[in-house]
Amino acid sequence: MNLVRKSIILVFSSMFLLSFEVASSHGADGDPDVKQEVRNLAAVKKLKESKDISLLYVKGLVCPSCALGIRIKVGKLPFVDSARYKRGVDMDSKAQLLTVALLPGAKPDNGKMIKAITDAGYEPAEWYSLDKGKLKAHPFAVTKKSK
Amino acid sequence: MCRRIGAFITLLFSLLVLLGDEPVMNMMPRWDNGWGLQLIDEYRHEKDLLLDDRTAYSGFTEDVHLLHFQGVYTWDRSIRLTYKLPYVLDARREMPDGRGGKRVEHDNGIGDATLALPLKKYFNLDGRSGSWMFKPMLRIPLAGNDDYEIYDNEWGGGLGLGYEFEMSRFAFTSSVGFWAFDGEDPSEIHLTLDLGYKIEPFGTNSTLYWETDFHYEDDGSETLLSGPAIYWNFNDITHMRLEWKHDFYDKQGKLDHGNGDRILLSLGLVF
Repeated sequence: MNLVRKSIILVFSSMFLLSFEVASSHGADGDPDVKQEVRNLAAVKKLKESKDISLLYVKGLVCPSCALGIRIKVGKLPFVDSARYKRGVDMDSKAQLLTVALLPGAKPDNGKMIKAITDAGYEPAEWYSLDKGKLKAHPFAVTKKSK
Repeated sequence: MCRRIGAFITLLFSLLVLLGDEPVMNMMPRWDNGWGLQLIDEYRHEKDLLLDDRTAYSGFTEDVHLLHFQGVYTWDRSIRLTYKLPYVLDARREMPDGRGGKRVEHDNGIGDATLALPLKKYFNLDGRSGSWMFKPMLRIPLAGNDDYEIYDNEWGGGLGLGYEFEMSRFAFTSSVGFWAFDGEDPSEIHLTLDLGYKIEPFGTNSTLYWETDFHYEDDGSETLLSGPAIYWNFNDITHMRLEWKHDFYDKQGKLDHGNGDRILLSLGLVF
């Protein structure tokens, strides 16, 4: 095996291993890229600033382009106010928070919300509310594993 | 520790097998019943005629201008169908005429189509999302007969494996692909490795990539290409990509052009 071929294999292997190191130390469960405290602060801020919204933590929501399907699927739900945000949906890929604008007085249907997000390729983990100014997390029941 | 060992085994496996050249739509559409179209304008210039890893004829150039029409449909997010149809706008190459001069040859027209069925297994973690891919591929001969052929008008079958993930700041794609052809074309192995860093110019979503490809053909040809790329998400529907790759290492098993550069401009629409 000549030197060039050895170098090519070495470079490919090193970059591949490096990527796993980056991924495993910054993005896996248990060692999140966005700490829970950071997400909680962002959630409290969002809930205090906005009215008539549903705020969710969606696992894997780190790529705004890949998550366009969430906007397409969730934006069509009957209780969503598509005139607000972009088609009624705002995505914060840094905190992995999904804000859904609700029509005035409308109550979100969590079953439909879970199905829409799952069909879009993501995993809804929990939704948030404020109870006397304190953040309260409501975990979703796991209905379908990511494919 | 187990995760690291798993990652290492994954690496070795991936390096043995892949291909993943859906530049704009590799991560999209990942939603049920999503579909997309993509147009790629490719220009490449090869500056020498090579035999093995030496320059046999310096200054014997080849210029190729291609359009690629591509499409994707996602049934369920784990099953896609993609097609690729290249069109040679103009290809021109200089070959030795046997009397010490140059003979100029041309090719144009439709190229060989590729159908693929990428099967994806997605994962969503806290701070990371990605997929594993297995992709059977079929090459359909549609090219014509010109002075020479960019596409060889042969049936072919291929298999690809891929692994990719994204985080809020980083993106990573790797793939291994293998092709075998019905006619005289040598079998091919393609390796790709793309590393990306996300930026947000003017409130839009973009990713800067450094991409490296290695192509091997069983007639002994080897090419290592590498270079930068930028992906730009204009809005929910329109996506653009610009890439430049340079041949850093080129070896030809038979007399062929090499030592070149290629530029690709892609426009993708997803729905």
